[in-house]
Amino acid sequence: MNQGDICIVSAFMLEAETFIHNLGLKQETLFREYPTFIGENEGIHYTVLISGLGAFRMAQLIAWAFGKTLVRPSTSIINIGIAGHSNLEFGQIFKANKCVSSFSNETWFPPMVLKDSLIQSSLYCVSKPETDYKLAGGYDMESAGFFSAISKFGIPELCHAFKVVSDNPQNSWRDLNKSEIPMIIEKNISILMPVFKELGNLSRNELDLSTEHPAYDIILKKAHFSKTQQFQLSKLLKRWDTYFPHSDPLDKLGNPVNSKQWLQKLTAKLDFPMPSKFSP
Amino acid sequence: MIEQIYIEDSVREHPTTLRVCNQFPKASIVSIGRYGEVFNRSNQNFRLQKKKSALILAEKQNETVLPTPSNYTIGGSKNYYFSHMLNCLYDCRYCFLQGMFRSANYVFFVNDEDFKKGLQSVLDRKSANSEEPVYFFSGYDCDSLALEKITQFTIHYFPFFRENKNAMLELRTKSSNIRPLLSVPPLPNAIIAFTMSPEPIAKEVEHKSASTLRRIQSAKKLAHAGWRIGLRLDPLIYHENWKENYSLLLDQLSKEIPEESIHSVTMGPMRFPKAMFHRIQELYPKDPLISGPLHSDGKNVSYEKSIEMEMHAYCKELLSNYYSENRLFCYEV
Repeated sequence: MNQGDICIVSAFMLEAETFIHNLGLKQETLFREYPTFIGENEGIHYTVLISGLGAFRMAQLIAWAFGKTLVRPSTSIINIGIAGHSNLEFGQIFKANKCVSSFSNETWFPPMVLKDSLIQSSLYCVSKPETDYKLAGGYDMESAGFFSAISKFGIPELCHAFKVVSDNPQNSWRDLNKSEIPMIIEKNISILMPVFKELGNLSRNELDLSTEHPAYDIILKKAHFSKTQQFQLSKLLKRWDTYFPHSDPLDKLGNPVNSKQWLQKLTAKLDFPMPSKFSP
Repeated sequence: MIEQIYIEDSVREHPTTLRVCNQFPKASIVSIGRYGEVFNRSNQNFRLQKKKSALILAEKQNETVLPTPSNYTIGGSKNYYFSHMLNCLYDCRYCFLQGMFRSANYVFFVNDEDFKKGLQSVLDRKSANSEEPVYFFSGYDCDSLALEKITQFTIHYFPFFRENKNAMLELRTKSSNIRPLLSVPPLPNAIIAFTMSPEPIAKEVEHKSASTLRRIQSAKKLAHAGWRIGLRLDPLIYHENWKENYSLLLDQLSKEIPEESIHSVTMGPMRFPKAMFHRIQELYPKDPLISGPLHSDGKNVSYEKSIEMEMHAYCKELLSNYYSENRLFCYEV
């Protein structure tokens, strides 16, 4: 059975250390480019990555993580960190429902498919800490890079930005004590854990759907398949799984000598006009 | 039911927007420029969004009323459709919407005043020199009744059809939410068309929709109240015991709904444009319907010709046992 997969990305260690500690993650020393922490908790595989300050670094980190296969398309990628906010209280957590880049004016709308009841807010990604909070919403410095990269590589429904308010019109960012950052994030961990669980389940379901039939790799070793043929084989075996869930195609197809024969034999079995069976 | 509402800036103060927002006071509101920013964005997952679709309140720009494809008819030669909504509450595995739209969010065009202008304009143009009615189909890109509580379609659009007897309205649904129809006098120029499928199909393929029995009961109540009913056996689904199941369905329909209330009965094959089918297949790679004995002719994906023809012949014969020829519209295969 596949495991749910969550990757938490933060700009600074201070924003992520709560999760590293609570989820019991260990540093992975194989990767020197970015601090990387990996582990398992309640059936979910977690990765925590630290990008450094700014949207560009965040986008770079996500592209790098995909390149290194630390994350895959079915991974739920979450940006957690601190943010300023025009009207929410210090320490309050919120989820971004709209992200606006102040550099490019691009806008992203993360699809809200989760069951959580977190406060939602717009999030403006800016290049330096906000002091005026002119527009109603949150202010951070990484989210544009996060959503920009996610929209290219990830499944946006599984990727979200959660921010904890560190400054607002009453509490300037200049007065923020660094030691307060892990504390205000820690206070919200009980709100986030059920969200992680749901995202973990969704991620696992996506992985299940994209997982190849057990015979796929075995057949690939028996003959040379072009990329197009590999794609066809994958689709045919998924159909096989639906039609004959308890039957091994390797037992039923004899010994085809090449890829073309494998595909022909599978197709012949599956295209037999057998009515769909809906009820067990 | 609706927890997320996106609102186009241009309709923020529209009375319908204000009403809908009042209906969902706890919903989170996000302002947008144009609905396409949310709805048409690439790399969206229709299947995941179906878990919790958001509502987008938007303004329909440009053409509000469009001609239907040439074979889309229930007896008239002037056929048009209008979509006050995009997407549907239900999740039918054969539905082309899941392959056509990138998003599963519901787009509700609140500017019914512009739709009515569009309807009037087509009606004036097309019925100027002819008595022949103009048919308007409202359930092309959505289920006409399923989200009635939000759209109030019957309140906004029925007056137009009450005033314009030469305009025929087909309201197509899989819903059993008929209270709005029963609460008003029947429209003689409206056809309440129910998609009817054998019960196992309604249960296993037409997710979240009313059961076949409830649809039949709804059609029966409407017929007794004086509404004209349409029966849509579309698409025909090839499944185990399909002959028995379609026979049973037709038997039930004929017993429950008097023939004089039936305006039209249509049936059609299951067909997908190829690109659309591949998108649906990616979303549901292991679904029994999508994994079924389907065949591509290069342009469309459908059941093999022999299956299509057998189903067509069998169901046409069945229908002709129950309904007179002038009520039957069977798309040729």
